[in-house]
Amino acid sequence: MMAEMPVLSWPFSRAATAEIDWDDVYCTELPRVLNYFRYRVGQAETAEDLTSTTFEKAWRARAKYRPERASVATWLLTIARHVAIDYYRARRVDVALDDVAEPARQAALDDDIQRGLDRRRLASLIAALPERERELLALKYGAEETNRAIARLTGLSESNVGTILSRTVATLRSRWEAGGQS
Amino acid sequence: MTDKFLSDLREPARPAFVEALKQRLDAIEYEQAERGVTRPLWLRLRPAFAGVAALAAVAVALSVPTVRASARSLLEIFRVKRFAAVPVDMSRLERLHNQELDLKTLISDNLQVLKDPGAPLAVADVAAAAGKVGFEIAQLAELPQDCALSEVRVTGQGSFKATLDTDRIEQLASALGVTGVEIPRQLNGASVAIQTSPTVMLRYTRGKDDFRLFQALSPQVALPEGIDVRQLGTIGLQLAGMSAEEAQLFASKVDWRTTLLVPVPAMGGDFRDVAVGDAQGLLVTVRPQRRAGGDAQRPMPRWHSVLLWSKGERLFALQGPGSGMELLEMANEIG
Repeated sequence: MMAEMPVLSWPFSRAATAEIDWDDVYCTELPRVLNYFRYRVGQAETAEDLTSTTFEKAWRARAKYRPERASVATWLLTIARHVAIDYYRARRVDVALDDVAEPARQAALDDDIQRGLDRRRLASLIAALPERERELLALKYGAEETNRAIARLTGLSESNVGTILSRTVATLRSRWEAGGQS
Repeated sequence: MTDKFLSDLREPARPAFVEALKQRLDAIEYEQAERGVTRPLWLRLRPAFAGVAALAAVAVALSVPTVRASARSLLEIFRVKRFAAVPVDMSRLERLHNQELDLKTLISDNLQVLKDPGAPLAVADVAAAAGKVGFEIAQLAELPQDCALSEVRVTGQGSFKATLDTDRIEQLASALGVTGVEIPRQLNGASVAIQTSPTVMLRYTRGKDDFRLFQALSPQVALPEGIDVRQLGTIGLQLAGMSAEEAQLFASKVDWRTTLLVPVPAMGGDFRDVAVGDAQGLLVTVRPQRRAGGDAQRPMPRWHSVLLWSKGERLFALQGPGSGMELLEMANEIG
């Protein structure tokens, strides 16, 4: 009868799977994961593809999620980080500065050209950063994680995360204000 | 030093992307549900237990005092007319999960899907769904403000047979830490046959709120002649976490041939009998708990409820956010 559809799997399944509201998880965490990838890889389309990969992996592994080990947000970001690593490993290239800078020279023909250009320029500046700094920026500004959470995710100390981020932001800011991508 | 400029890359997700990915995730969910991967443990037992819910079915699986020939005469037919909540000790299920014990295997190695209901299929509208399931589909006579029917799905008829294994059942009781329960040896080899009707799901959406109305005909569960259903129920209730005395008291108050037992988490779940028109329904509410280590900045998870009732030959389940008051109002609008 109804068991063929998730009649009793919701809300009861939440209790059986650590009372997780997966629909709510999707709504809440999708923007964070998507923006993590926007900072991480730059291109919007790629960010969407990697976000899809992350959620599909997560959904297939939901039964293995253990809330006592990490919050669901942390769990998802951990999967996202592995997806990002796999992505770069498969490509065996880093996003070169010119790869991202090129579109900036092709004026976007949308209603908000300046904002679009700024966004592309920022993406190119971030793409030029070393791997570790880019990862921390993606977690901080894309996923909007706290320094403490980032420390847990990356294995760095919280103070180290703060120091690296502060230095990275200063570097980006100076490059941003200089109007170029050195 | 301001880092405001660094927020420029943040953007909301495109609605088309959000919807497309959600559909893929739903497909994964359905696929896994079919394979029994993501369902709660009691629903993983679904083929054997369809129609009487897990506990009743566990009970059914546990005791046939005098099984003469396993499937010789299937005389006892169940029809669900009412619902009763059973508080379940979730730590027991968690214990099974941690030990990677599979309840289905523990209870029966011989679970046959005679007719697979198939995955829920999206259909164009209610009329199309009615054509597939073969019964009239009830709908909300009046929708709440800003609420609209957004999805219709159907599943087919199902037919299952489980053959019981008492050694496995004892293993289950042991794994659950239940002592003092005698599993009749005569049960070994008994068959339980279950037939489930097609089911329809109507999904109503209002912004982020999601209401789902399920309806189906009563399942039929056929048991071998001579079965002591009450004894079965008592054992099943003990497995769910009740003491022997509590289980006996509960079992004495239940009409085991017409009552669908609904497992409710003992912690974090709430339930009560309610009136839905002329029928008695069961309203279950669960508030997901914020876990230790979770982000305290995030809003508390919302209440979610499910309302179960029967009307004539049909069973209904309406689930949605909130403590259930709105569900009750909606249920009374279902014609």
